[in-house]
Amino acid sequence: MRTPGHMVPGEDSWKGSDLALLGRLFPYAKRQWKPLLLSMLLLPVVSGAQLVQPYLLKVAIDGPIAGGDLEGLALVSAALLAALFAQYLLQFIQSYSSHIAGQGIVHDLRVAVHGHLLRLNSRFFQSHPAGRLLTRCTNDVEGIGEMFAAGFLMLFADLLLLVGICAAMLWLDVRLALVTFASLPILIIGTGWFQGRLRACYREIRRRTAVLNSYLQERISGIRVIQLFGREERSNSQFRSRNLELIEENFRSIRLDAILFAFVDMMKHVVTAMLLWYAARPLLDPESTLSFGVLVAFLDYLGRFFHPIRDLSQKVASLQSGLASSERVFDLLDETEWVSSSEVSAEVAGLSGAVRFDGVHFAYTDGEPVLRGLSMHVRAGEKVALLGVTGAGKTTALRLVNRVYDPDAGKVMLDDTDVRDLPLARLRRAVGVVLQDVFLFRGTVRNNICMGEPIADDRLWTVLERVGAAELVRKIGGLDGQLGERGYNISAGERQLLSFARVLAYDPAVLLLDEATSNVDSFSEQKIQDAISTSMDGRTTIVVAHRLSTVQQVDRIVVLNKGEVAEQGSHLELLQRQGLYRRFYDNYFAVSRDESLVVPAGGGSR
Amino acid sequence: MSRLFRYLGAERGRYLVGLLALVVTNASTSGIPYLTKLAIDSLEAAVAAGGSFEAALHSDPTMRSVGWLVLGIIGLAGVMAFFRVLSRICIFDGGRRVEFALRNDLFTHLQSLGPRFFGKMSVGDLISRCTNDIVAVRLLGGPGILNAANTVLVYLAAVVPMLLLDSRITLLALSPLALLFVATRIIGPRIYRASLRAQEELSLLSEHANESIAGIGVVQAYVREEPRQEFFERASESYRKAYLNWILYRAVLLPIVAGMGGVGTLAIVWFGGRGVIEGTLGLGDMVAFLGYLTMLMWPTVALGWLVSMWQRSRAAMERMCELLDTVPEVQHGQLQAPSQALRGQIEFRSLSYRYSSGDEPVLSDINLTIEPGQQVLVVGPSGAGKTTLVSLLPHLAVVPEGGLFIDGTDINALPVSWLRRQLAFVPQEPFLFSMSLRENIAFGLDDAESATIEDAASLASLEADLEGFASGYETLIGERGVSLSGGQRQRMTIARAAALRPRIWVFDDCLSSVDAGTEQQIIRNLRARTEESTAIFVSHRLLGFEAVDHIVVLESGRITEQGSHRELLDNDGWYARLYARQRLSEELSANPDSTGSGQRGEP
Repeated sequence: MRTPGHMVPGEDSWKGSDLALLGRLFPYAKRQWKPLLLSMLLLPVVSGAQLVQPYLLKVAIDGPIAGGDLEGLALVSAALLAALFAQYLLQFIQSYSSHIAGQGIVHDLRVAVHGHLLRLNSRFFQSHPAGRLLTRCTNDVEGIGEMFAAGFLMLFADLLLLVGICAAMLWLDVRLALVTFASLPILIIGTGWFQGRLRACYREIRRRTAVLNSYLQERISGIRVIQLFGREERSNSQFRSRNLELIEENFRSIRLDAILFAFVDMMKHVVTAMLLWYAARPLLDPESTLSFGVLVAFLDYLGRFFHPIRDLSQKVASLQSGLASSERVFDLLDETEWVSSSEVSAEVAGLSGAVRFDGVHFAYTDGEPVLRGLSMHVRAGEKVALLGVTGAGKTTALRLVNRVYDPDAGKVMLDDTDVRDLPLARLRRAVGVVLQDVFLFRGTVRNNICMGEPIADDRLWTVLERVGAAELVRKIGGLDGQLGERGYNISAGERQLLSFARVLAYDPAVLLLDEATSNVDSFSEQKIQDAISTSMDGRTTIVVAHRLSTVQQVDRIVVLNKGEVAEQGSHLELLQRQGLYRRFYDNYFAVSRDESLVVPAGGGSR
Repeated sequence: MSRLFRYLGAERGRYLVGLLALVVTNASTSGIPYLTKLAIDSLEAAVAAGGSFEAALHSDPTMRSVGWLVLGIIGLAGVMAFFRVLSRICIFDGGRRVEFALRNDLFTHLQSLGPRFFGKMSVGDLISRCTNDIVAVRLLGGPGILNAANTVLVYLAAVVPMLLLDSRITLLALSPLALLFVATRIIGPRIYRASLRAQEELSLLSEHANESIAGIGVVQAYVREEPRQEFFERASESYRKAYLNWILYRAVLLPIVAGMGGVGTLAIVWFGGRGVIEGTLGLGDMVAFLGYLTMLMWPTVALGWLVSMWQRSRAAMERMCELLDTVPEVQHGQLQAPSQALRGQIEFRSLSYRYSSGDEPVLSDINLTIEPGQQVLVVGPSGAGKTTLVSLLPHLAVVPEGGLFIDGTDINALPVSWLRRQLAFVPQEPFLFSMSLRENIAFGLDDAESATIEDAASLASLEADLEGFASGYETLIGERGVSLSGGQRQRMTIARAAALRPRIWVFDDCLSSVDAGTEQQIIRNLRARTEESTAIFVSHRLLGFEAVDHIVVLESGRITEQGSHRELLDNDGWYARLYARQRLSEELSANPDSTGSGQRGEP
């Protein structure tokens, strides 16, 4: 559900200014105020320790060395040593604390992004490639940290220096200072133009990086298929072309950056030349106060004036790269496609587990409705099988019960309360789901079954016995046995068994099964169905069934067609009705009756 | 590290041009202060001569030379700007090209690796190596090389005249640099280790993030957001610590190195100052010394930065070499691709198979011959090794020598790509790519005709589903498009395989999410079309497969029964029991009165 009144930007649609972006970063920076402040305070001290050194040299030359005073020389040398020591010690503290601040901000942002992702709903994940989301969690937040540690603080230091130099120049000679400042408009327009292009360039680089990474991620995940079909060559060339697109944009940014760098450098020398020429007139004017000493000092300052400006352009570049990252990170944090827990949570004591669909409409994509006014009621403790052809909306109906999605119209109710009014955690604890895709996490068997809940070992073993997975678990090293990423080290059937154990360990009031038994061989399937039928006494169960053997175990069968209930009733009633179920049933047996395809079983009664 | 040099060496032309441009840039940089000095000297002369500006401009040749010098400065600045741009473009492009080549090589190499490798490595870790670690190498190849070259050039430009002025004081001033080597020796390896650890932690972190995204459905269904978040927070925290540890060593090294330069200045003030006082050194020489040391200040700082960068890139390269040095398990067969097509004869000869040496064998003593055109059903309990057995056929994993023969040739001698083009393996888990339905079906073909694709789709009973999509075959699926149901995805993978028109079909329990009617329809289609091809089915459902030529029962990695349907029923083993049970289920459904009672009585 989208919360109205909130900005819902898509990719790169941030319309706010840089200031607004910085404003949003401020709370994160504020949490690191101690190292940030320390770093900022130390910056002028470090510069001071740095600037005092040339002065000490001047003192040494003009004083002790000129005067032949060895003791004085020792004193000045000691002072120089102190200044050096202070500079490097403080520099160390300053740089380390700036990184502490930067990494603190990165950590907070990363955790915020991850936490936000966990709250977003399936619709969001369907429209956002996993690879790109991963980039937000890693590279983008890293870019923001870099911006703080390297960009911001240094920018601050440079600005301080610039102000100081401007003041010194004005103090030395107003006219020459004004000549120098006359170059500023060109400088500002020039750097501004380049930086605008650079910023667009960095944004494009981020985008292409994300495209490349999500391609990489998909191809690594699907490596088996690529190898099976011998498509390595084509994958390589597709990867190359995406890689090429990225490097081309990088080349563009290198050119822009190099030209900007050289442009500022060149301006420095042009202004030097201008000053020399301009200074000739007042120098030759006997009335003027301009002396050679002032000119030389001024030229010295001029060198120092452009240096921070040149660096400024680099730091601004890293700042812009950081801002481009912030845009993307905040775009994600502004995403409100989450399943939100209702503010007014209905009071619920024990849930008995009655489920009611009330005129439910739902579409994944506009114009392609999946559920069209589905209404049905499952009494507490009742077991219902959903039947229907592929695309009839069976799985979708289940997804609405534990709010993987919310209906577009109509209501799904649990114990006469709209599921949207129930606290989400409460609802999902009450509803156990065996998903179509078994997802196991890298880690121990225990973690995969308990999912972070403290459950006693005996109970876990009981559950594992019940689903027939105990032997498997012993084989891979007990409850602390390791499962690989997505459980690659056990077979698909075995993964199914563990996912059943996971559900039963939680003991939910409502059980939703989605085609889950299909990958398990009939012996294991029997074990699970036995376990389910004993443990589901008094518990509501909705099964999406493709096997008639599953259908036999339920109290009622609901046949879905095109997102509506076509017919419902017991197996016998439906058979007699000669409707969809009958056709479905006959179709299922049609092959077995086909003598040309089936060698009748020796002991078969048919 | 030779590998790193090989990548850098490939860009030597670019780097060379960049270095030459850098020499010109530095030369013109030092030329400008000289021109400025000449201009000031000229001005001084003009002032000494007296007179007004206008008069001087028209009459005084020195004043005119000021004009020329000013133009010279501007011209030289132009030259410098040009060469600076050139050097930066050449060198930074070099770094990017190194990154480009390395990334391509990584990807190409990853594609050649087998399931054992991907079982060990997580997707998040792999991606982290292909993205984050590569950045460290790129930084070395770009800014790293630029700064290294700059440092050398500036040192040459400063140290040579210093030595000419006074070799004793030069050595004294530069002696602290010896300490640099000590510092590098001590801190360098620590930076290396710390940076390796930080990169590993980052890998772990992206692995967690990747898993959170991939497993979001489970996380949400079990309301595990909070523990998951805490888990992630801990990972992020330990990465933060590892990163700061690396920064700490770097932050220690940089001031130490930069401090060396400062100590050099101190040496000159103290020893040089004494020399001046004692009359052994001129004041001007001492001032010049100080000037040269100032020139060296920034390159020395860069030196420290380079040491840290070098260690970091080494660590990153090491992690990438771990991937690049992994030898593909499956080596391409020695034989030339046979000119004739595959006949489809398959023979397992006393094949035993284990995932890694020391493990329990997953398959033991498999003897099985499948003639061309035969249809074989492989059944058995979960974890019996069915998938492992059929996975050997496309040669995804290493097959023991002399264990598996295709058309009478050891599979290890056959060219892998030739084999895979003619063998369609439909895996259990339907993995589709986020592209259009057409592209997914045509995945295995270089250029597919519409007829082939439509034919494949109809074999997999996809027509009705396709009609349901507004854009038909062009409908995008996956992350950017529609989401397909489990059954639709499985049928897509069948269509993808059918488009190959293979000689050998392997179906690894790939119809489990398809509804019963469709399943039977597909099996009928398949049996009609696969008459001339060899077909192997792995299935948990036995009904509908009664007419296959041969049935193999696998239990705990061994073939415990094999034969025709009838023979196996007579054998009264696992197959007969399971078949009876499945048959009974159906019959019970047909006679609902007895539902329940009969079901439970099964042993």
